[in-house]
Amino acid sequence: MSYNSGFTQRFSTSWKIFIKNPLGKAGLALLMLFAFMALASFALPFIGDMYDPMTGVDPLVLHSVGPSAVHWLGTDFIGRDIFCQLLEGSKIAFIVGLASAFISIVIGTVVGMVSGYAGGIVDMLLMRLADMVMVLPSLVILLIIAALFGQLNIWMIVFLIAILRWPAVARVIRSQTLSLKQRPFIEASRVAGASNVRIIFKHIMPNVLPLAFLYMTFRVTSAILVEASLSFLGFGDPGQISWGMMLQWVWSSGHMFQAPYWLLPPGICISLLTLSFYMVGRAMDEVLDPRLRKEGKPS
Amino acid sequence: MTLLTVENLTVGYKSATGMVKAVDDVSFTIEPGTSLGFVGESGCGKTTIGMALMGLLPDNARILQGRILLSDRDLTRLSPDDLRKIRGKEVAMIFQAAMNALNPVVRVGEQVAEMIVTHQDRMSSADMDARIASLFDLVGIPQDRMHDYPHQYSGGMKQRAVIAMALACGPRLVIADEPTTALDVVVQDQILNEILKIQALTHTSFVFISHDIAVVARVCRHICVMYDGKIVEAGTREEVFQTPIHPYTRQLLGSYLTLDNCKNVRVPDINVRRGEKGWNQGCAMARVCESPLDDCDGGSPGWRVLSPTHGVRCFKKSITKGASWEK
Amino acid sequence: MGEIKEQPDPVVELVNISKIYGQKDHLFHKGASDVVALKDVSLKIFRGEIFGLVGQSGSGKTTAGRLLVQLEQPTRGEIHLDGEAVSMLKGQALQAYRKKVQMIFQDPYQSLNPHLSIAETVTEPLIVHGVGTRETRREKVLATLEASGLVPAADFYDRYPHQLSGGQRQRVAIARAIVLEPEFIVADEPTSMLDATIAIQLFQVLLNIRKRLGMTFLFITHNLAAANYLCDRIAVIHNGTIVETGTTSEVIDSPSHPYTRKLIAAQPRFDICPVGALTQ
Repeated sequence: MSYNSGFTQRFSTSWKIFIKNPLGKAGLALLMLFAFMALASFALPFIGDMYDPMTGVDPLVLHSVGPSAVHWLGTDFIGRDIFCQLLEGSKIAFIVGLASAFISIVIGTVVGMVSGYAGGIVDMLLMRLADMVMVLPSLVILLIIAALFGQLNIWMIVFLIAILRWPAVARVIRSQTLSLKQRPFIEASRVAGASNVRIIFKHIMPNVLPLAFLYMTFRVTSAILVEASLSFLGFGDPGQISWGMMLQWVWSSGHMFQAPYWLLPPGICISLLTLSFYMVGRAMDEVLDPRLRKEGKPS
Repeated sequence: MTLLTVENLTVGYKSATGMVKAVDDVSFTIEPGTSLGFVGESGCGKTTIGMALMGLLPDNARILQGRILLSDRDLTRLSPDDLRKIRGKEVAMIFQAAMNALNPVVRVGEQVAEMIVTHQDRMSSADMDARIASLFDLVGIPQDRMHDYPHQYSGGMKQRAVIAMALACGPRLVIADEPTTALDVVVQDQILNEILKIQALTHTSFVFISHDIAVVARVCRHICVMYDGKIVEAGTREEVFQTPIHPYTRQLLGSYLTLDNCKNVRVPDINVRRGEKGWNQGCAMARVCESPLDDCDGGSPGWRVLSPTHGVRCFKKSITKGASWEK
Repeated sequence: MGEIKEQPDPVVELVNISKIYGQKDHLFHKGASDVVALKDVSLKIFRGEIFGLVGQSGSGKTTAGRLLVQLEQPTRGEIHLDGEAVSMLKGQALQAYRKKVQMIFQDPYQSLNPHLSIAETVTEPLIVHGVGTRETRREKVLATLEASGLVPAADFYDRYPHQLSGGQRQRVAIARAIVLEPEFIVADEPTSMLDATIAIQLFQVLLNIRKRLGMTFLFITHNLAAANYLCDRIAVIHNGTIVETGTTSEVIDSPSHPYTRKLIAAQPRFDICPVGALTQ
């Protein structure tokens, strides 16, 4: 109860600063739009078989046509509704982006905190490991794994992206932890007799979480892009429609230059969704770093 | 002729909740060659006054009201360019953290020379050397240390170097903001002696800002006691020390520990009355005052003149206790 | 040492403690860049007294405090608590030591975790040492806050550090240090960041605590007048060596070491008026 009251108060002041930022406002609006699209995709099965993004073929069309009243954005090469695929794709983009960002943040935060707090040999081993993972080209690794194991399912892709993308987070959290470790309140807690585990999770974690959360928005962006590239190259989950896969179909069915109504929407969606996460991240940056703020009484 | 006149200076900071007044309706004057001290707790607005005099207020601060007259020019109306010309040349500042005020990669002598070059016409290098040497003499740094880097200096030496930089262009007014707070007592003692010597030699006026009333009393003939953005008591140091009227001044003096008084310091009562700070609701001091009157909750007390030099911002006409030791 | 004969029971004893900071890991380490923070320091602190360690910045006084609360280990020498050697403690033994020795830090703005409420901060020592139940802890914390001068304690219980003034924060830090009722508390310049009117109130709090709980204090300060006000005995430390030890009146009124004399001469005074008159 007590924790919540303090949290809500801090949250509301942060929120005020965030929403004053034009980048934050625009990013959040865009994000809401895509979130709404993703939610709308759950309603597709109830509208009719024809609008199932994967199997719902319009029997009257069966080839790619432009926008009409029945198919707002037209159909693909076998007569499936592009708008429905777009909605389905935004759901997948959110799942891939948020889930893999979340996993990589959890790994990165724990590794960073432990590494920074423990120091010494633990720090060295963990950071060298991070360095090694950091220099791996994620897309190439994913392609190789996909080639070796055949088709990857979507959760496998999420997990692999997360595994390849935690080191940057770990480095940032580690440096933050290093400076926190010197703060007297950590020493006070040591003098009080708190264990290392308690200090890490009770004292250091609340102080690095905002930063980790900020980094999550940037991780989301990169995860969405990696998944889109993978699908576009034909190594995505064949059971899930994603924007990258839509682009791949445009390409492989030879409609690249004939069907802009089919090519543009997924491309624009990928750009706008990553952009909106990026803008939200930048606005949060300002909330977290008072030096970027314009006002406030100097202490 | 009066060197500096400040009239009704009010400075506010823009914050998330609106404008916060840090300095509220402050007026004072400084005659050439004298010094004025500001004492008060942290956050009482004394540093903001110094910044306003230098024209160095942060971006989110505004002078809401009042004038700062240096001779007859109003500093609040000058353009940033004109202010820059005055800064360093006519009004100089000694900062609290001497170690941060010096550039670590430039020799100390060159940093002092830089101050002179910025504000004065070309000088031959021999003249320049002589000028720097005399400045180093004035602040008590051996001349052979002129070509050292700041990190080779001790804390006290750095503070002396900062004072030399402030005096480089022969300013008429020097603002010293907590110049000895970061120093050990022994070094503080030496620096204060140095400042007294400089005052006597150069006839420079000082505004001396400190939370330490003994430090201010040592250097300044006139003292302003500040509380919550206002000057609550002002007078010569004898008046302020021997017949303090305002409850805050009395608390400040009563709780100051020296080696001789530890048996009879007075501990101010805490949480006597509850209430928020803020002059709009009444006297800001009321919540910690030892014997507040009913009026104190109603409105802010006005300035009451007790003698040509002594004034106070308090409703109480006379002090109930301690009047007997008035000389 | 003359003072031992009256009180044979030192709570804490430093025996020939040296602390040297150097780059141990350096290859070809010659010790040229070593910083000697403490050099053969020996001290006895007796039960129930407030012992003042007075010195300027860089004199090693803070290092001495940090060694005592085992935030650092001495390079040489031995620390005794209740007659037992306590250097290099680990695990259970260290935990038991922590329960007996606590610290109040210098900067109240840095020593409280901004994300924890006052209640959480003061309860933490009770939790980590498994003292009491949920209900009794609450009672204990409220009583301790009250003892530290945060009255009424319930008003402060659920607040966060940023809602408190510097003086109030330091009271919270004091409450955290005394909540376990330790035998010995190291107070490292607890008032140097605070204004004079606040500092004197905090001294009062420390004196009250000593009277009620009978704790022993090491008061580390650069302010001789504060040590004079608060302490029973004083040691003056200069460049890592103790230059003079004695009762407060011995050291202040008849200093024997030149450095002590220099320190006393440099103390600020009110030459122009008898401040004592104010308190009548």
